[in-house]
Amino acid sequence: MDRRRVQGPETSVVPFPLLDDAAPGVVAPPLQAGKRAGGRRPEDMRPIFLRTGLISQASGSAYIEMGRTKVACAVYGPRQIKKQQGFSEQGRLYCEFKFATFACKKRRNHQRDSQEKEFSQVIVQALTPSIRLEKLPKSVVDIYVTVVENDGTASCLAAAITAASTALADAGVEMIDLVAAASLAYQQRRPEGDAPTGENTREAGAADLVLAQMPSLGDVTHLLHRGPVDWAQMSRAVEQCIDVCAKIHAVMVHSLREHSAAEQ
Amino acid sequence: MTTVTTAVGGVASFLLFFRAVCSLFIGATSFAMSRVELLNPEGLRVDGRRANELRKLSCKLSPLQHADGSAYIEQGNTKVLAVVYGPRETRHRAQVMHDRAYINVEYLVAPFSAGERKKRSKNDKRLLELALAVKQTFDSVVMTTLHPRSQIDIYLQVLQDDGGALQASINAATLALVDAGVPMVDYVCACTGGCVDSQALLDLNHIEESSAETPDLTVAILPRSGKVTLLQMTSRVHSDQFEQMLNLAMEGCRQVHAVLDSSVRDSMQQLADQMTHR
Amino acid sequence: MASFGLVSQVERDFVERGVDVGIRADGRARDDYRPPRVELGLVSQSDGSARCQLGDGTDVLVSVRCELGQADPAADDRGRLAVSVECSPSASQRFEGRGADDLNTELSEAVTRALTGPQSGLNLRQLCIVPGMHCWVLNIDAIVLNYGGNVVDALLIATRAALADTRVPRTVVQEMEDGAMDFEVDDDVENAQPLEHVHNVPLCVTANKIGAGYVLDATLTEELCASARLHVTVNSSGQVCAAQKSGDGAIEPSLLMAMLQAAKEQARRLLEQQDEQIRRHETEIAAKRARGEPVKRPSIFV
Repeated sequence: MDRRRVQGPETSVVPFPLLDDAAPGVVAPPLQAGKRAGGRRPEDMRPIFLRTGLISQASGSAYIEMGRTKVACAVYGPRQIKKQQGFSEQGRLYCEFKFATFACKKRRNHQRDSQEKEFSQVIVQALTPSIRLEKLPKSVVDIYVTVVENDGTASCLAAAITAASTALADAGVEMIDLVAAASLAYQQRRPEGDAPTGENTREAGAADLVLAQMPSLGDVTHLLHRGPVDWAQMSRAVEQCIDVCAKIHAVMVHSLREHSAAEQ
Repeated sequence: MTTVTTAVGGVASFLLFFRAVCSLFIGATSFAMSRVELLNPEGLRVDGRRANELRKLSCKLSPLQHADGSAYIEQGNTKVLAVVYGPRETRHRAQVMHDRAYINVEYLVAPFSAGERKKRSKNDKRLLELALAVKQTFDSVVMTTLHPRSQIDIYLQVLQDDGGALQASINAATLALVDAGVPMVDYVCACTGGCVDSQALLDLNHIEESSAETPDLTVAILPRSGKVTLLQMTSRVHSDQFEQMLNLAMEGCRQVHAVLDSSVRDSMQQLADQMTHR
Repeated sequence: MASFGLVSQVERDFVERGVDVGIRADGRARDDYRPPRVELGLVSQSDGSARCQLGDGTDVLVSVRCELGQADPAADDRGRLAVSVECSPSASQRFEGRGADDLNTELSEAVTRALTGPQSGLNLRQLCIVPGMHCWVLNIDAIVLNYGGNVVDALLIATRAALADTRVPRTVVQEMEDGAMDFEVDDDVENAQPLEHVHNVPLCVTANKIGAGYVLDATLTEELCASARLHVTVNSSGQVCAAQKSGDGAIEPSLLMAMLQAAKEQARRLLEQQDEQIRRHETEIAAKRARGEPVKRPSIFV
């Protein structure tokens, strides 16, 4: 029990019906004549809004929106490693991934739970191959990711990796490539790009995939798959995610260019 | 059969406890909820032992090959694994002692060890206290001055606890230290004693240990000199009975010593056989 | 995964070159798997337990315990599983104190990903007692006694075996006059039921990327040389239930697919082996029952 903060009420009700294109409680079927809710085709992703330098205090920052998934990321450093953590020849990456308490349907606690801790590790593992850590001895780069709104946990993780990599570039950390991440939900034995919550949880057999890749080099830096899926379906999904990563990469490059142009 | 009504809060946890207690009774089919008869008129205890009887004690040296020394002990249903590393370089510079070795004890309890499942934090005060008790016991027995500026790690893992986990841990640690070849003055043999209706009991099991009216005493001795290295008791008892309990427990320690010693000899014999056959 | 222990540049080079030409230090080929040694029913106070040893290194002990719990409002007609993994300092000095916390989280999450949700294949409705009120929670507690590489695989092998060994106490539900639901737990172990659909529970195979190639079932030294790992969890119908990369390196897409494929093939063989072993164990138990001998093995090590 967290006594240092004001706790939210134990039970709560939705204050007013959410103003959405669908009436509350009614969920449109995912596939209608090859189209999903919002008129997307199965392989289409949601439009991405990505901007860097929103957090002025940080060395680098990025904010990403994919539909209703909203993630903010700040990078601090490289700074000197604390003495207790000992000497290291290579730089270290430290990540703290947190859902805002109001980000999900159910209220999250202030303390990080095991899922958030795991996602932090995933982000570190996904970004480490892209960073020239050997250039940063005795130092650490801190990445803080806050999910402002969660519309599909897998898409949040993918957005977080994309945003974090953009923020690292914005901070001027030496990298060999950007890392773009794509998420995908398997639905009715057919993969669909970039799934929001409603689509994720509708079926008991829901399955999803998050894949992070360095698009210019082609190397996959992370893969996280959940749910029972046939082999053929999975290999198709991996290919699809790799395609999507290339598209996301273009968005990342565009937003970084725009930001540096604006600064000059 | 136990009946639970969902309307009453906290019943579920009671039921769990009940299930736990039931599972500990081996062979006993029914018992009174209010007070368990620890010693029946025929002089038999809940598990059918007499007052001065030890539980079946079996041990195995080096069950884990990779460690410097390891031992596994079963005392009735109490099962403990002890692993010893060292003497080796100290992990933290602050622990270096220039004239002797530092003994480091970590006492771990498996979440499934007791009747009711419970996950303990590594900083649990009770576990730290038990670890300290073991450390202090061995500080005086291990010839630490032979290995200055080094560290000896004793890791104790309680896999099942049916009473007397501390005594089993100490016995297991002794065997693991012997297995690791750490020089010691003597074995350390531990045993518990208790008292019911002014009758001293040897080697308490979980039911006897957790009963409020039984005092329980853990004693560890060096069997050759008869010196006491550990004595722990947290309840009130008349001094006449205390002496009776202590004497019985020390007698138990000597019996434990015989078992430990024979298992060490057996394992050394096996080792010698293997070497000659090569 | 938090790496521990040190490996020299020369040793790393040796292992990498070996993998390049398809030879490993212990004489195996790249795709060879050490046959796991599994024992069932070792922990007498648990409802199910198993120990798995791989090679002469890795050693894990898993216990499954049924505990009464509140039903999850989101899935009120189902029970659930809770996983916790603990690395004992007996495996490595690094696990002392809080040293193993990160690794514990990672291992628990890896097992959780394979076992919670639809991918476990278990019939969780079997664990429901009173819908919306009470259910059984299967507590899966694992202890890593020795860390000799490939622990995630060993954990899932042991967990699957422990689940096959698990017997859930029988409950009798009846409705009271006032409409409240009432249930009784049968304390008789003879009446406890095995879990349904245990053969659907998946197994994990880890492929380690070393140099430009990969190996299955890596030893500790090989794990230290690996730049990336891929844990692939596969069930008996050949479906991929979970997959996760770990480690700090990157994998080329073509190698990634090859690793997935190899892991999937190996998992199928492991599943067949284990199903066979479980069947053998069950017939053994039935025979012991018929003779009236004690069923649980009394000891873990002796």
